[in-house]
Amino acid sequence: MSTRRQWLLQVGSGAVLAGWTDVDLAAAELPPGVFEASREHLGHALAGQPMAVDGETELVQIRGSAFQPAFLSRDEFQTLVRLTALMLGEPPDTAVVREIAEWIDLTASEAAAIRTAARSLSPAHRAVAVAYYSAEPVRTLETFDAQKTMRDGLAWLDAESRRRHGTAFAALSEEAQRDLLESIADRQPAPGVDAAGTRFFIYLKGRVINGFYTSRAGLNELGYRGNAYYASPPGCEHLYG
Amino acid sequence: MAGKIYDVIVVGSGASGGWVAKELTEKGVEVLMLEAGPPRVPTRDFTEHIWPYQLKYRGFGNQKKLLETQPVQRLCYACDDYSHQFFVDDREHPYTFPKDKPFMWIRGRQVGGKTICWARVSYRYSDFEFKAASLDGYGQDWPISYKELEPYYDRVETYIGVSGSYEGLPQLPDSKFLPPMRLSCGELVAKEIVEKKFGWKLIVDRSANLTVPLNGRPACHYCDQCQRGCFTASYFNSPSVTLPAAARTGRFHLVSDAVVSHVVMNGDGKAAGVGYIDRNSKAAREVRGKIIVLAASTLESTRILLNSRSPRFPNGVGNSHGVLGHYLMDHTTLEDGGGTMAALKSAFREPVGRPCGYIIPKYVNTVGPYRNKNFLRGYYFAGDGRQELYGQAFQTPGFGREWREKVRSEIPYAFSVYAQGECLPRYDNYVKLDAEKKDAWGIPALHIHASHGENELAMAKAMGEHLGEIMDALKLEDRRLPRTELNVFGKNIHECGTARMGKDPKTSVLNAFNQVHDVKNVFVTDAACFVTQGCSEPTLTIMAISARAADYIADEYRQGNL
Repeated sequence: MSTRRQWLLQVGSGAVLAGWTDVDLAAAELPPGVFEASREHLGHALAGQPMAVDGETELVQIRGSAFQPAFLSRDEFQTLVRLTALMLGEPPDTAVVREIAEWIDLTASEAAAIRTAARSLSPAHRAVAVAYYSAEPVRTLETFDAQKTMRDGLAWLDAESRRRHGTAFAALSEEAQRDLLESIADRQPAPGVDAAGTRFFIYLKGRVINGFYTSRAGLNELGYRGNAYYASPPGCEHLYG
Repeated sequence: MAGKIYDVIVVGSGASGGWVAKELTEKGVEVLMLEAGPPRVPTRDFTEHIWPYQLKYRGFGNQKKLLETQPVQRLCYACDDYSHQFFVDDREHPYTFPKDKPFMWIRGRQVGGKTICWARVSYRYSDFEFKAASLDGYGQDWPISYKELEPYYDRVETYIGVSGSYEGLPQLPDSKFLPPMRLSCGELVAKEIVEKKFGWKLIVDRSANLTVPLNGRPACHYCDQCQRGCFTASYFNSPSVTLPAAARTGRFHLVSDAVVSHVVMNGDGKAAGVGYIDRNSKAAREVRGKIIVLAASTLESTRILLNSRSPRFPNGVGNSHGVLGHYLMDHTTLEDGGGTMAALKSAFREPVGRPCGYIIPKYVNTVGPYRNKNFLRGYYFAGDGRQELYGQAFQTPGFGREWREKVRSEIPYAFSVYAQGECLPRYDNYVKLDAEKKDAWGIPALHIHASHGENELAMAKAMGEHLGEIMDALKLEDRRLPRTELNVFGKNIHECGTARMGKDPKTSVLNAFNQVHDVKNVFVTDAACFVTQGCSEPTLTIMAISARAADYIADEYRQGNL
């Protein structure tokens, strides 16, 4: 049985063997890329998985310095934290609220480049995408402007706050902020003064849902019982037994 | 071309190549395997137990990078934040198709090929497939029968492990099963209704996951993340099942990063070896072998044959009669049907992790009263029943604590169903070498010309009607109607045909033992050899045929016939 350490050692020897022709391949216990089953799976599943740093998997990076938003201004980011907290009913200084707000800022910062990449697909690759998804989702990827949706939404919140209360959104009480959010909640954008607000709400709610329910706290709250170790296959426990 | 002459060169290290290598080396034959991709390293490349919050993009993927580097591969459900490394960079692997015939070609180049991230569904074919032409008059029979392949199914299954239930269905013969997994609550409800209303069985999938330990591999631990690689090798994949067996013989040599471009021919009309390009240095190399086995995947094996042009074989090896490249198939699917089962709405969260779904086997035009003269052949239904994880959050109005509590405690029970049907082998679904486009190693790219024919479209209509009847019978709510159009060609990653087997060299490329009619020491053992594909997943049959071909090669080699 190969241990993980042995696997790593095999990676090292792979560099030597990759050249081929007269190398004595039979001398290696198993060639690179061939491995025996690990029997450490219980510990592995329970302890979580350590990853080698040289792979292609993009892991969350631990920051050495204070967070700097990549898309929003510092003030806008504070408002995003506030809104995320309201969406989740959590105090704004909760770790998961910051975690989600930072991810939303990250995705917004890359939104323009994603749209450009979608528009830059070759005609052939675009045709495969349309055949796969149908035309509408492809068009949405090419045209949806997440950055504008966010900027317009944040501006709308401030303008509406000033109109109603004479002050910026950030300065409102939590209750007044919640009221304002409720006035645009779950409404389809329609022609009218609050389209920027309603459009923003739908976008933000979607982001918060995807952020929260992929967090440790969110998955725990759902009681998600997958990605785990089971000794026998899960099936119906109560209906028919 | 100098250097050692190997007994057998096997091109490709996936389901087919792994079985050929295992069987041949265990019978005393020395094998050199060439794999176009790199070796994978579990600790670096497998992401089995990674959580979304450990990923920079939380499981949603680096969309910019995916669009730029894997514009086709990203469309595969498994090419995601966790597993994109198992799929090719489309910029290096171009192919072309006519403007109005898009083709989705999903490719995994690495030691193990697509077996690292495959969906593990394992069904035997029956004589409804092998002898389909005799039954309905369309096309050709396979040159082999179920009886001839049965011992090889047995051999493969008892070694790799396939879980499932014994049902005694003629159209879906039982395997040598490990204990079955279990149906979910929703599937048990559906089973009763479907069996009563239609007379169709609804059974748990037959899957190459171990429900008990086998040959030193631990049983599945049901984390349900199979496409990310498996540290415990609890599902079949060649790098930790067949290839170690070959390596243990001491007669197995593996060279990865070797992109094979063509078969090298001798003056006497036999193959002398293969030419390949080093994936990294791009240097051209040749290796010598007495026998060449192509197991590079359906379209890659055919591409290598087409590109093996010489004065004696100007159109490629195995193409004397213009059959090579033709009769491409991929299953057709009508997808996305489903809804919720109101009676199973619950506040109690159930365990999840079963790495498969359910299947309602093929009955239409096969067994029983469901006959439809509008088309030939048939289809099966599949899907799964499970609690929604958090999809309901998008539909739950409001926000804040109360909203979260509703999302947590009002868990909808989702039931999905889709149909998968047979694609008829047609001469006008074909691949050829593109006249201009080349891949990153200078090898001519494929031009793929494939579309659904009248039979597939007529079948799709019937599939849609049956899906509606099933959803009605189950009284599904919040209904999601299945798509009205078939999937894009290639999407099901079950491409088969293009170098089919047959008795007549004028209408087939390979004989009944996967041997090229024209060149006796060249074999093709992957799904390129398929004559028909039924409506079932091809991998188990690929493995059984590969084991059978390896038996034949070993015998013929020993007798000096090759």
